[in-house]
Amino acid sequence: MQIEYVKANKIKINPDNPRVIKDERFKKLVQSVREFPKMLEIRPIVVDANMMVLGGNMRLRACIEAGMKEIPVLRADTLTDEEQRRFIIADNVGFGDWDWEPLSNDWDSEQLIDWGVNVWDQPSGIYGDDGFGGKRPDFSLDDAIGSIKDNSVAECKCPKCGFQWAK
Amino acid sequence: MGKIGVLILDKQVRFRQISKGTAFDDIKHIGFRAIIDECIEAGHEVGYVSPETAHTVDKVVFSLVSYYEAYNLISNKTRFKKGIENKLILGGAGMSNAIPFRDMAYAVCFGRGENTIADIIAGKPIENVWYNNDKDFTGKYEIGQLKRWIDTKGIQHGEGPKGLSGFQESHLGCRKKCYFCQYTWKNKFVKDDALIGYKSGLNDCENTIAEIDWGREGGKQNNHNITAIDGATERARRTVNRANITNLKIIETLHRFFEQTAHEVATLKLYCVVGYPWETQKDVDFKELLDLFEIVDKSLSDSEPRKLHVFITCTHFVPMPFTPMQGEPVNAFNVREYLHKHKPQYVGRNIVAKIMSQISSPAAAMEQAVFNRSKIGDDKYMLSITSPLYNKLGSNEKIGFIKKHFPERLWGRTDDIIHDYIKAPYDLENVIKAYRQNVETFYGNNKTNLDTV
Repeated sequence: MQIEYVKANKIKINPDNPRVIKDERFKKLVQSVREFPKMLEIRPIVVDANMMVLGGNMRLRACIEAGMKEIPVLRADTLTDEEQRRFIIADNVGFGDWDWEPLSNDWDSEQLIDWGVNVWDQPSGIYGDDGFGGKRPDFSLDDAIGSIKDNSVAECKCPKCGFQWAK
Repeated sequence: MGKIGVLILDKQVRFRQISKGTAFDDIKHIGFRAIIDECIEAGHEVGYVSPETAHTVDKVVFSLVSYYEAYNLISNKTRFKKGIENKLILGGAGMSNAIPFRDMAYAVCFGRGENTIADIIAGKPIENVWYNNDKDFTGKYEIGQLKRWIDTKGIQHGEGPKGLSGFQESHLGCRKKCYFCQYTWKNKFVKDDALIGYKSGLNDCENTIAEIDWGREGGKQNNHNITAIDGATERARRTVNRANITNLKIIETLHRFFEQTAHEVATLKLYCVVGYPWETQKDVDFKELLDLFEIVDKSLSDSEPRKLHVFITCTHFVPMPFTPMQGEPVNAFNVREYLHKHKPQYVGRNIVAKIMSQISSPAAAMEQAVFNRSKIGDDKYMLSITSPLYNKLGSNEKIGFIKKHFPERLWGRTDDIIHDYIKAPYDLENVIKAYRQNVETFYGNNKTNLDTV
């Protein structure tokens, strides 16, 4: 298997990927891709024969966000279906959190344990820092509503026919 | 015939026609696929639209998969142009309340829209559909549309991409009538003959606990079974009308695995509801349930080679409209946190049983209740839940915010439930009495977790 550079729009995100990533971590990942692009050559996106990502969905998204036009990939087209499923799990370390719903529904627990995923451990930091029965936030309902940015899109209107469209 | 837009709450989407067989083929969207097909067959042109381009089509359809979609829609409200109130058709499993959308929706479909969407577009009166010009709407709901669609299209259970089951409609024709579950109370049952040849369930293995087939000789070998027990103690299950799931039945089911199956290892996934309003510590420490595993495990011979892994996945109770528990409060006791601290589990020689770490939080249950119960004038509460300030909070802080700023009828105990735009098909009043009798019988004056928060 050799690394090749492929246009970003040819690579497909894997819809079965059981991992999610939060905004802050994603920003860090984008930053990491920008600052250390050689990392991608050392650890390229792994795709199947159809250019579907087997390993590196988050990195692919980060590459696109970072504006990369061509992305290094490794075609793992010799893996069996079973090996591909195993690879998706085994490869996922580092960034991202497990999305437990697909993980618990679509993946066999016995295999997950075999592949080294500790399905029982609680991810850290999912609760508020305030602890049980914690403090109440000091902002008001109006403050909350006021923090919503106006996301309406400016309207354009044709002066002749009156047709309206979004800018 | 007109243009129908499928609403995508993403970037600006230009109208892009959907040709038959090129969209919504994912099995997760089978119901919506049926609706798109019906639109196309009725002669409409169907494509994607965003809020900014929704005005360019004649009607817009949007499926609320869960209550999250309701909040997504509210937070995107300002992106729509005037006139959307004559176009937007809402429906889907997450649709529980039309009021928050009264000024932006043309029609709201409660329950399934299959086999009715063309009529909704045409504005015909339909029993489970609310139109924004209806004042005295009372509807009744009959399910079976999807079943008819499946029959027509010839899709068989077990078909689907990558060998997934063809469809996941475990609630179609559900006769369990759990008191907390919306599906069985909002929807009418189909007749027996409509269910002939129809098998529901997740990967063909969602059964009641007593029906679990671990794989007899010559039968299908299931080494991964899923079922719902809906309560960690027998009295909790009895209170919500799951009296059929006794501790003895659970023990028998576990024994059957070791008596019948040829598998060396099998998994059993149990869905369980926690956070009931009358719940006590005993109901969430899982000791009663874990003791059952220990009893079975210790009864096995030393040479027993088979192993059973049990996953227990919990969801926090939400009072859903049209159910006997609709007026109950959200229990803000954070069961998720409690379980995280105590990590109840049983690790034996042949049986390992653990609670899955991800459980929905009471804050999410409160948000869902707020959507379910919002009335005219309550828009600001839903809007504040979509705000960046609110969304930066931890789950306990969210609970604090809602308790402090929101009226109790939106999250607490209430008799003031909106369902005047859909007629419940059952005599809910008497069922609610039966439910409350259960609470009195099984819990009496016990101190509940609700009392502690």
